[in-house]
Amino acid sequence: MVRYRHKLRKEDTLMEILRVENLCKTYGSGENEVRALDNVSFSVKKGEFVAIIGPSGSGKSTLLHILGGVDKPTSGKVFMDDSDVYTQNDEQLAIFRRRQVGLIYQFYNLIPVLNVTENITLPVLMDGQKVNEERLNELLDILKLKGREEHLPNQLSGGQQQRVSIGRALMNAPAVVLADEPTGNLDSKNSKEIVDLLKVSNKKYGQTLVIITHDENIALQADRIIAIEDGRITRDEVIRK
Amino acid sequence: MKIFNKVTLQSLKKNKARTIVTIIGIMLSTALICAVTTSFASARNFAIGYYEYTEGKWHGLEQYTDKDTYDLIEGSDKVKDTGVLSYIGYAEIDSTNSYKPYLYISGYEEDETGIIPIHMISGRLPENSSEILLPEHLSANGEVELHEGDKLTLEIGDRKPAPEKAKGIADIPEYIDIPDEAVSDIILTQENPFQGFDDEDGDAISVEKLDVRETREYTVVGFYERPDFEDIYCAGYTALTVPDEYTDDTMFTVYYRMNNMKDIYDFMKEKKLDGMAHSELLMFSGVSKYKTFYSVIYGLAAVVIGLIMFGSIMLIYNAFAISVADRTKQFGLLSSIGATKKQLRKMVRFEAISLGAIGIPLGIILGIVGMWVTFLAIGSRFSAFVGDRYPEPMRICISPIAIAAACVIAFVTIMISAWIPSIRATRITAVEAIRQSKDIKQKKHIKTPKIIQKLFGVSGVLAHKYFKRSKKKYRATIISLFLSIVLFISAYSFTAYLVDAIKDANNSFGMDYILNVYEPDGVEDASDDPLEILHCIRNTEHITDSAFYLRDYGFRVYTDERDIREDYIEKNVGQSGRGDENIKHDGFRLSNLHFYYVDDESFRKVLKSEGLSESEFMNKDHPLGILVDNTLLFNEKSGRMERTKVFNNNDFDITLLKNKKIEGYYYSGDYIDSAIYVNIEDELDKKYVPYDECLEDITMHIGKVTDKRPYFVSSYGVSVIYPYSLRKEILGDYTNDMYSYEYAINADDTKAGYEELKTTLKENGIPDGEFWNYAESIESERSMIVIVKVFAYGFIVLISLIAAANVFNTITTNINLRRREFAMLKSVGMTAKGMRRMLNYERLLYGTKALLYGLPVSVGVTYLIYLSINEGIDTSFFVPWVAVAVAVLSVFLVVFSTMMFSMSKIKKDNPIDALKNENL
Repeated sequence: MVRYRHKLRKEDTLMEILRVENLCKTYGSGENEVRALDNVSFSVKKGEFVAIIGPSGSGKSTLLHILGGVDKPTSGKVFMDDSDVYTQNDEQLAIFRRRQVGLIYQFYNLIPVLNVTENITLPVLMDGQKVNEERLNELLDILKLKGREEHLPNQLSGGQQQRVSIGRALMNAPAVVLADEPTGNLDSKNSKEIVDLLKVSNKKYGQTLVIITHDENIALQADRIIAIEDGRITRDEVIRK
Repeated sequence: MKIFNKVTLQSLKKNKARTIVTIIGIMLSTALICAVTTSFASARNFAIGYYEYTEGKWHGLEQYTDKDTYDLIEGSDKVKDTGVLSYIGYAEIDSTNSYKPYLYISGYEEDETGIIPIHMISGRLPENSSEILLPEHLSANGEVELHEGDKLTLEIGDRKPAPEKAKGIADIPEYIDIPDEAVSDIILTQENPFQGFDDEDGDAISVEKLDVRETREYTVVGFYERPDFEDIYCAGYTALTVPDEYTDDTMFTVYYRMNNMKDIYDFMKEKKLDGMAHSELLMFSGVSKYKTFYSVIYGLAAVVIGLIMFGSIMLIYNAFAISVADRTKQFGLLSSIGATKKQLRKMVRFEAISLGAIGIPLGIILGIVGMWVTFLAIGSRFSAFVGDRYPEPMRICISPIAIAAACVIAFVTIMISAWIPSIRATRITAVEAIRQSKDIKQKKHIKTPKIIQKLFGVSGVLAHKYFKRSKKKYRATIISLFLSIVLFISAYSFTAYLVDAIKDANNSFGMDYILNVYEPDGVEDASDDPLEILHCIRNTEHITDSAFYLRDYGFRVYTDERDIREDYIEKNVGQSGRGDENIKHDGFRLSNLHFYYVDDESFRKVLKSEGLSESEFMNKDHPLGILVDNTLLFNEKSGRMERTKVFNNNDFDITLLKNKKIEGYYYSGDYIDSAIYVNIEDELDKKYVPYDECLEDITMHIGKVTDKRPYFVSSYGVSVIYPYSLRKEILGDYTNDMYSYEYAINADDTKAGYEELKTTLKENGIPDGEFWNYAESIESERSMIVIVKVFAYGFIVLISLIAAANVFNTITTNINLRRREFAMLKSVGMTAKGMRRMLNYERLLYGTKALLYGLPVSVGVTYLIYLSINEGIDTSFFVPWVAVAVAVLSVFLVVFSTMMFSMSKIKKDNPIDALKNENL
């Protein structure tokens, strides 16, 4: 078992895209206090593919939500591209989520009244920006959604819906893509396809990827595995350079 | 952002039922507001129309002025139109009205019809100075019968005081102005009443003269309605003709209209005119001098609109709150993707604007159509408020300002309703929304009463637990229902109490007409047989019922105190007291007693309605009276009208005190402990006769006390009814001392019946001077009641519909949100019967809780209304049970049907699909 390093080495801060320092998240108080995260610190390099594994209730999802700016830590800091995420106000955080982060959920979480194109381009449209048609077409191609641009979510299979979700996460080429059990709701064939797509985005486009999974097979396809248990990092292993 | 708008619009399309119902709610609120603003605009329009019709369209008026002033006004470029009446003179006419013996001939010209209020009845306006237009009351009032085409030769001159005629007359009334001889050449105008008075023999004495100047012949070309500008006291009936050339001596009454009516006061000041402005017309037209009036009107409108807004906001807010609740996860997801709070708030407000864009125009149309129909139905009743002087009904006035105001107010109402939900949409954190962890927060174990298990089984237990755990979701529905119940019952109570108070305060008689034939004291019965007259009346077309009665007023009536209710004695000791200290008589003194000696046929009808025997009550040797004991009396102590029952017995005697007759004298009044008798021949010969010498007891027997009042009996004071044929047996020597002889008459068509009756009376030589059309005079009361009822019930219905829409929204959404739960229950084996039981319990919960809070509060509000009305007029407290019953039924009906509707949709759900569906 590799010992968890409490201090970051100097060379690791080069090309660093994400850094977490002494992150804590507690719920409740007194006797009922639950420490979901307990002094978590680590960093992620640009272009890295990190898998976070751990049993149920270990704090994986909590960690992901905090990294994504969706949930606030009780204490500690999160730096994305060297800027402290949680010194921003609500408006700035929203824009941060829109531009710097791409979130993929286990249960797709598409807007049912918007079609495939609209769901994918949602972060761009929220920004009031013009959609980069070339990028969109490229994503549709890679995600094998060509011909389904006008379809609504209820007209797609589970796998297709998750691909739309991935497209949404990649559209703005965010600093980090965070995926919470992206294959949890899919069969093995679709699961493989999704993981392959994520790997493509990582390898081909250098997209930094942090993925939560309980599936060891998927974890082993990452460059690095971080294991969490009871809110603490118990293992942080680079398995591929 | 367009994408947010698209998400909002698509969500609205997806939830069609809720969207439509919310639009209906907005529509109804807007319609109510529009109805208020349009009503005010229409009422204002009606008032303007009324004043223009009855008094003329003029803005300014100069009376009896000279040519210079006329030229000054006519020549001004600020004056749009003028109308002129010019003095020509008076001519004697054979009028039976001794105080109106003249025709007043006036020249008439106007630039535009209607400036001077002349309304044609027949014929046409005169076209030259040899033609004349006569007023219709020349016939009705003066009994001068002329027709179109008749030639009239008139000796025209000027009225002047005749001080010489006044010589030797001692008692000239003060209102007669007899000038010195030196100034006796002044010309009297229509401002001066006829200078005459009645002498002691009743003959008219004139102290004026007509200085005839010329004789002219006219052709009668038409008749017009009695003009508003001719007061009752005017000495001449105003006849109109085309004037000759004006001279410098001509006297004018100038009516004028401004180009801009707001200039009137400045114009009058500038030109130093001391006439008058048409204040009522100007006031209703919004001229700024009358800011106070308009502040009152706007204040009243603001109160009513405020109430509607309050109710609407409370109810429409719920629609948006539900929408936000339903889209919690959607808002959370959008937030996690990067939507700012401002963007999310805008989504909710955009929803409000979108729904308003549809609901408000539809509501305006509904409001206008609704008021149009309302005025079509009851518009003619508003004329009764102005004594039927204005023939036009109140019509809808579609004022752009009123419509714009309604739109703005409705929009503000919707935005206020959406405000809090829009804030709430941003309070849900992204992670909470995604996890839906706020869904249920169970703090402690919930115990379910055993009775619920017994009655409803597991289904009821589930429903109860769910209810207890997620109270917030139910609260909105229960609050909506609660508000609707309170508003409905309160509005109903308000109408019921107000209508009762109007009826009581106006002291309604039950008859449509009264014919009064008055005979002075000491004179035998009229030679005309009153029963013959009654027969003529009864045979007149449209007359449905009639009674003849002699009416006597009992000023001093005594009875045994034991026959009187204690509470009456307590209330009224100040008024009637246990006795008049100046009259030594046993017993309790009553006041305000009316005695009716009604024709036997009518008396028999009363006996029949009371189930009494004719032989007992119409026994010559022992006649019995029926006492009506259900009256309103003014209590001086409390200062209010109070409904009072006086007697606690059914069978007793009363003693009426009458002043004895003294030969050659009549009773004229009282002085301390004596009665004053005046010599019929010599007014100065007066006798003061002590009470114990001049008062005589008449014992009268009462056989029945009832609270049913026959139509001919006054509602003010206690009344006793006897048959006419037994009046001599009861009153003896005092039979002819009646206060008045009257006929109470009812008709099926009060307008037609009145005309027919007038003809009957004329044909039979019966004087109609004291013939009152009571139906017309209380028509305003009836109209007021109808109008109050129509508006109040209209308000109630609309508010109830808004509430029903709101309840529908809340319940359907609550059920939709629980689709997964129902699917899960189905999947573990709950039967359709079990589901029904669960929902029945919920229906019961909704309805019962809402009624449990709503009914006591409604009764409380009703009590406050009762206290308020009771301040002025004695009213008994009553609960409007009809409204309560309707509220109870409606609550369960709305809840029941809404749940049925929602469940019919969910029944078709496949449990697996519903459980799997993790999209939003």
